[in-house]
Amino acid sequence: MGNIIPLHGNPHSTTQELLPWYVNGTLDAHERQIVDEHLLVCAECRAELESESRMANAFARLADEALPGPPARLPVPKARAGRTRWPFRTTAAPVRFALIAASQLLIVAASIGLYANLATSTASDYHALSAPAAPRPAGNVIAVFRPDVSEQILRATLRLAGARIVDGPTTADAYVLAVSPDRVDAAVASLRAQPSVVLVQPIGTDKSR
Amino acid sequence: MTQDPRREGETGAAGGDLRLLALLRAGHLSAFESLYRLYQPRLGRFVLHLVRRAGTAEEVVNDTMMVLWNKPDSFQGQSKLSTWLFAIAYRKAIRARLGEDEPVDDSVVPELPDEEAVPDRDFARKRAATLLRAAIDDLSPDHRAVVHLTYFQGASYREIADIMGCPTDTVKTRMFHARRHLKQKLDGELADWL
Repeated sequence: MGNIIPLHGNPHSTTQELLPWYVNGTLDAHERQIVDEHLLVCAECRAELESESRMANAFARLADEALPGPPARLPVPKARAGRTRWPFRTTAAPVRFALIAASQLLIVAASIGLYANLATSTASDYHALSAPAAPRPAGNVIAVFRPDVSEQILRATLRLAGARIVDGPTTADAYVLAVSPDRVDAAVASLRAQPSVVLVQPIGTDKSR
Repeated sequence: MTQDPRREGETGAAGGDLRLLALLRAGHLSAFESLYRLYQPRLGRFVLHLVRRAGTAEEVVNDTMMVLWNKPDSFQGQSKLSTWLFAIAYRKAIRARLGEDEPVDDSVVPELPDEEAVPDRDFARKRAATLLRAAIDDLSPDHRAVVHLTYFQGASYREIADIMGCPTDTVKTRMFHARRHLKQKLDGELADWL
């Protein structure tokens, strides 16, 4: 009974209805397929997806900020234990994140140049037997995401930018993305604008090839 | 029907919950302590969106966790432990809210930070965050619960229906109205998040 799909509406209204859970990654495979297929043909729903992704980003950011829950004072389970006071303190997550992000920035900034050289030097040595005419999509953007980013936000971010992951994580936890060569600047701008992205940088694509 | 592969991670987390629950049932206080550490922050933020007052929220969360300690066998494994706990917390929060006669405690909503020395971009984001919080606060408790569970807890609409004890279509309808409200309130402001 858990797999009943709400088909009383058309794909458009179903998609509109399901987008929040499409973005948070909790739809089942069949529902995702309905939404995926409809998004391909409906500009209105693609715009709505963008809006929904922004909303999810806004909430994700809000969650990072100090919106405190009630203080963590563990109740004393009287019936099954003695009177003890347990001094719990919540961890300062934003501080932790800032330290991680800062260390990642240093590592990645140092390794981007190295990776760009590596990518161009190895690409020319590689030939796919099955695809002689169409070159494999080479990575042309490198990006680092926040360490605590959720899969659904990551997915929405990549979709918005029209980017696909083609390599990574590197030793510096960076990902190599492929975007259409004529959309690199737009994709970089889109990624750079996302709170879920710590760092984004185009890497050496040889357009004359 | 094959299991959604994305559920595997949840199975891992749920498996950890169940191991702790088994220890708790055997009377291990440390297992309760671990579950409390896991769920107190999540339940706390959820309940705080429903009852608004920190003191009431703390009581609701602790009452919820005490159900787990005192009556662990009332969880029969028909849902995830998290869904069961959120459902208890939701019911307790709704009841507690009825007892909250006093006006909303504005101190729950953090004030804007000192504007001095805050970069413009940061300031714009803080402003957007404040507006978003205010927009969430304007929602009815039922709408707020759906929004919170979806965006903060990453719950599916089926889990939300289980937690709130309502049909899945009701969850979708509430979300539809809640999103419309949030968009109206945040008209143009969401651009500051990008």
